[in-house]
Amino acid sequence: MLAALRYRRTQALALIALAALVTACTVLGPLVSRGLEQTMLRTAIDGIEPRDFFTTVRMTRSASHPLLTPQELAPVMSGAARRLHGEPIAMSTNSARLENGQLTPPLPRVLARSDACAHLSFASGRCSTKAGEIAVSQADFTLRKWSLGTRLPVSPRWDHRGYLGLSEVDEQGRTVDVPRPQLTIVGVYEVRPDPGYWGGTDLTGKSGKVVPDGQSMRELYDDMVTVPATFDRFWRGSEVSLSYPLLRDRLTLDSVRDALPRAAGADVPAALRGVSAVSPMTQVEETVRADRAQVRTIVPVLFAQLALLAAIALLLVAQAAVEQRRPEVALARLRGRSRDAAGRLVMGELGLATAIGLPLGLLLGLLAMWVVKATLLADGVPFEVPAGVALALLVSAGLCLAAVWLAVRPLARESIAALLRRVPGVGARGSAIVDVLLLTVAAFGVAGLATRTLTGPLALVTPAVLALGVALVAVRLLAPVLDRAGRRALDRGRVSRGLALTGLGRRGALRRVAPVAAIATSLVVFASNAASVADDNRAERARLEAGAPAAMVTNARSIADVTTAIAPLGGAAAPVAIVDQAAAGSTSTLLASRRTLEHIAYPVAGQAPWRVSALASPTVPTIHLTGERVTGELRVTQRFTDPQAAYPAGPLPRPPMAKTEGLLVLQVTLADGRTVTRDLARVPFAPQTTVRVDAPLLCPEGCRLAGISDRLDVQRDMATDATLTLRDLRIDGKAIDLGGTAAWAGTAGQPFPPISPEHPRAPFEPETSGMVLESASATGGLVMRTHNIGALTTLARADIPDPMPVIASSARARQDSELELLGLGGQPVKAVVRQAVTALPVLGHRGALADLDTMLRAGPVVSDQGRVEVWLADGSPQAVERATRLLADADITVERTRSYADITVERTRSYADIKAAYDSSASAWALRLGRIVGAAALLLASLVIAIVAMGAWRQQVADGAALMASGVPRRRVGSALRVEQVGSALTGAGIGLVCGLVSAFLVMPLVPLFAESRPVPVIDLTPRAPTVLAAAVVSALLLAGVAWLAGVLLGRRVELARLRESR
Amino acid sequence: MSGRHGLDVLTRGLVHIYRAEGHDVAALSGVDLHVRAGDVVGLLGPSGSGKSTLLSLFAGLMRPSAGSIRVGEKEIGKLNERELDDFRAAEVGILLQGASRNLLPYLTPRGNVEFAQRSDRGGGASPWQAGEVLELMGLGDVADHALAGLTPGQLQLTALGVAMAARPGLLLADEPTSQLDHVSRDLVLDTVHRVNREQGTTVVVVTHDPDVAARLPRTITIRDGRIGGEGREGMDYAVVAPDGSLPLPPAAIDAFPPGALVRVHEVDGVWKLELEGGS
Repeated sequence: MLAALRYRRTQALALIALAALVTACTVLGPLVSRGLEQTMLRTAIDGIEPRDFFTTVRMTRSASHPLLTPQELAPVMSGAARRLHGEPIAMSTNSARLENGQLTPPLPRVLARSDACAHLSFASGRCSTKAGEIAVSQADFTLRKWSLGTRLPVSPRWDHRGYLGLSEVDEQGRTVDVPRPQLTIVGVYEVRPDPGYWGGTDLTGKSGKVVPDGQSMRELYDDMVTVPATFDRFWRGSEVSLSYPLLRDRLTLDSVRDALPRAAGADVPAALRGVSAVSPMTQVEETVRADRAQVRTIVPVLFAQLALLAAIALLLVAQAAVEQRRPEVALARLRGRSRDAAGRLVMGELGLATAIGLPLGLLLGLLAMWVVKATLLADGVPFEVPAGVALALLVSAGLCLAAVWLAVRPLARESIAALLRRVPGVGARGSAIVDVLLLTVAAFGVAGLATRTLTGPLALVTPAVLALGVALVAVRLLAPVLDRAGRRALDRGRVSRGLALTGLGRRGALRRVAPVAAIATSLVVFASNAASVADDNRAERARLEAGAPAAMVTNARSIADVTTAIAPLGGAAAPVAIVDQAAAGSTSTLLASRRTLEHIAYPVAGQAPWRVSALASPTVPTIHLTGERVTGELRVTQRFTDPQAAYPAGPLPRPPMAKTEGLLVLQVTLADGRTVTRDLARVPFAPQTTVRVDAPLLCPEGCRLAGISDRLDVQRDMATDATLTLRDLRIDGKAIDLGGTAAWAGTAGQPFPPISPEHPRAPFEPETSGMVLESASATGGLVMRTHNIGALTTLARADIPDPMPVIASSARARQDSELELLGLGGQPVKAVVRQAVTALPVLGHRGALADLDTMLRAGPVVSDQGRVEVWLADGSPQAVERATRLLADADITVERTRSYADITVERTRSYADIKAAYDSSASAWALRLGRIVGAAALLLASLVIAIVAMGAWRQQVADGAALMASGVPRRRVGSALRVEQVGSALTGAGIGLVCGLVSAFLVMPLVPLFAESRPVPVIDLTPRAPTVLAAAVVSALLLAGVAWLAGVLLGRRVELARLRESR
Repeated sequence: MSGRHGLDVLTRGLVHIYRAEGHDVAALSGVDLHVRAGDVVGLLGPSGSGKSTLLSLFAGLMRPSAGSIRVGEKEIGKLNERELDDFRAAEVGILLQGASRNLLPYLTPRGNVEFAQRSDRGGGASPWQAGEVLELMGLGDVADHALAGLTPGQLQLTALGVAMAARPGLLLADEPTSQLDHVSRDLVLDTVHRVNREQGTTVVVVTHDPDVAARLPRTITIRDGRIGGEGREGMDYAVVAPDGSLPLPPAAIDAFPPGALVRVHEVDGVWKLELEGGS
């Protein structure tokens, strides 16, 4: 058997190589999956800040455990978990209610942390050593003018659970109250930064700050460091904790779960019920699980097809090898061996070759994995051989065995007489059945994928099976056509073309090469398209979430401040405000100017352009009232009616109509967006009167005139109909122009109907209150007509539309539907949807986009529920830095920058880092393997082309020699051979393009692009035509190149002397 | 060396029809032939006359369409596949035309003989050693040489040795001397005769070569799927068919053109063929 392998050394090497490739492709699946999962784990772990890299178990001392120590919490950590953590850091904390005479006394945190003194430096004094001693921060020490030895009295306090302390446990173990304990300052510390020790425990940074606490403000203190005994003496309800630093290097996929502390369940000692545990590994474990799901979908999709391609290549090459062994099988049969024995003879030889290929394939797979690890995977990923490799090895052995068996089986079935013929008989019927079966399986797979009912292994290999089935059937149908065309060409004297077409139609090259080329091209097309589609979708999601190339979240409260600060950047930067509603899932508001939307913000792909014109500010100017007093004249003509008089008298007597006064007020909007009233004048209870207006305005910084209201406090059922004429209105003596009628809106929120013969009076129902504008002019003043049954009737300025037109992305948003959102100042704003879209920048599928310029008319100040961002057209670090500098110069701090790619990793600020973060998603990692798979597929197909040409060279060369002997020029024979080879490859590539495209439609929905699905942006799986075409062209060129080379080499071997070769 | 006698070969009304391009073609149309055990017989005839088909039927490579073939005690047409395998393994040696078609190119002469001796049924040890076979063929010196280094004559002798590896009772050789020079041809023929002489093997040789035919004690000429004549010890005979017809030897065909009336009559105890008109 070894002699037989040695004799056909090249063929044996080809078989060994293909078996090795099959094995390599198969074992690469689990190897790469594992590597990617480890990469995901490392990425997740590396994303955790050192300060958060602790598993912390904590519990509050209770009446049943008054002296609980941190060490008693240790059993919560299992032995396995302990091995993944370093030595724990014990801590006891409680807050001290300092008696400093304030109504809302400070509650500084007092803590005792093991070995804390070694991680503090002392500006003066020393570390606390005894119960009741504390070290305070330098900031507090200075701010509060303490001195060493100062005693801070601590008072008892209560909370919603009842009495917390102060108490202590006496020598008999009884808890006794401590009337007035005191903490004595013995040192002034400064923290030595060491995230590995302090973790998330921030001792300082609070001193001097004040935070709201209910109706009052509470002053913050830095932490006070003491010893554990302080908590033993008093303070029930202290919290004790153990923080275990995680050991990064020991964390692997297999140990992630082990790192988690025990849940407070059955396996936790009863005494520790109520313990809580926090570990970053919980999130890591969830992340890894989600990533693993992606990897385990994408990697098999790619590698299963590659392995199938390799197996098919092996089958084809094995078939070619088997054909060459026909005489040997015939000899074996002639010498009395049975069919099975003769078959086993070939099986043994080919099987031996493939068996040699298995370990080589394993080594090749490991080598390829090493390359993948070195070039693609994250640093620090261990080189592991998971158990799945053994299974993959078995699978590849099965595939190789099946390929050899399938190749040999038809030979063993042939009669000796048939075997003795040099050319195999027409075994077409059997192979036709195989073709049809493959096509049926492929059709089944396609139908399953199209109806989303197919999952599992068949779904994964359907693209390859589809390409194979289609190629085989196409070749079968094409062969006779080519043969006939060739004969016709020969009849017409076109020798080269005729020979090439006849060769394509009759010889096996087309049948062998085309399917492999089809699968390889299909795989390349599919993998390239998948990577492109995924990249586009990631970019689209990033654009949507970022909103602009760079979005800098500031701590500014005033849009005006930001606008001024970034003015030097011109049109390259713009302020944007985002106001969130408190309730989760409620509509947030994005406020951006038209220029921002058109020139800076990313458009949302797949939806209509924003109709920013619908959001445009009204042309009515805003009237800013700046001054201290407002003066003018108010002329009143009014009539009092009793609406109930029109109704039949009821059983109860009606009270007599009472005299009352009205009040004319100005509605003004302050800078922070709040609308307040300023009383103008009282409207006396008289049918006709003129009142002098002279009232405080109190708008030294300027207020926006929002409207004029008539407030009437009347008894029930009484109404007034009045005409109010406000003239000669002045602010600090300076006349103001109140504009014409178009500058005012009616009370119903609709634009005030113009005064015209058709609409001489604004209609309103007698039982409702309302105010309309009769006329407006500089000389005649504002003439308002009111109908008031005891409410505040307002004539609003029309400089801010009411309702505010918005573009909404809520699922319920419909054209012209109304919704309520928050304005800049946090005040409710009625809005009307002028355009319903799928998604809005930053806000996604639940938001409303309003015009910032319009909203600014109500004031530039943003409430606590909102934030001011600066959006940049240029997301480069330089642009971000320049904008940051400008904002800093204006005393505006950039809290964080969210740029185009900075979606998942908020702390990454450079574009390169952010891009790397993108490329670190499991889906991206896995799909990147498509390049390797595509390259491997093309390599395999090239190998098959070469092997098939090599395997049949004697016959082809002999045929060529015969043609030369018949007078056909060598040049034409060579040309025919080249066309035959290239034609086979290009036929396959063409079929592969079509099948790859079909697979792109069918299989892409199975490929997870993101760890978490979101409604927007809608994932667009449409095949990317340029990518598909480029992949197909590259594949076709490569395969055709190899085929052309094979044709050239064959042509060179054609010599008349070959005619003398017997076989 | 234990002897094994040659095998009788007897055919009766042997017909073989094959299908070619949609038509039935009769390769053999009723062949009655008896080759006695230990005979050396040459099958002669033009290409396509059916001699190779006859050889294949003897070897059990094909089944006859009609008629019977008996080799030794075995009715070949009635053997099942397993019995046919056994038959080929032990009782018949087949030498295909062209030495290389009989040999595994990657094995030495010894390896090829051993390959032919190996039985997949575990039917016991080979009746003789590969070395003995090769000595009989005169190839003792090159038994372990690569085939590529052998002369065409040595290759043919190796092929003959492979055919004789199982020491069969019947040796079927298809053009065993084609593509050989005279020296090699004579060497091969000498060896065939030696095998026949020393082993008692029945030998049936297909040949086109008149020189080869001349060295065979008995030749049978196949024409159009029938036995057209027989030669014994240099004398050519026409063979009367079971239906009484008598194919004329080629030399006599010009004298007896198709449609000629021939009178067959006895004169003084001698049967004569006489054309109408007296000649």
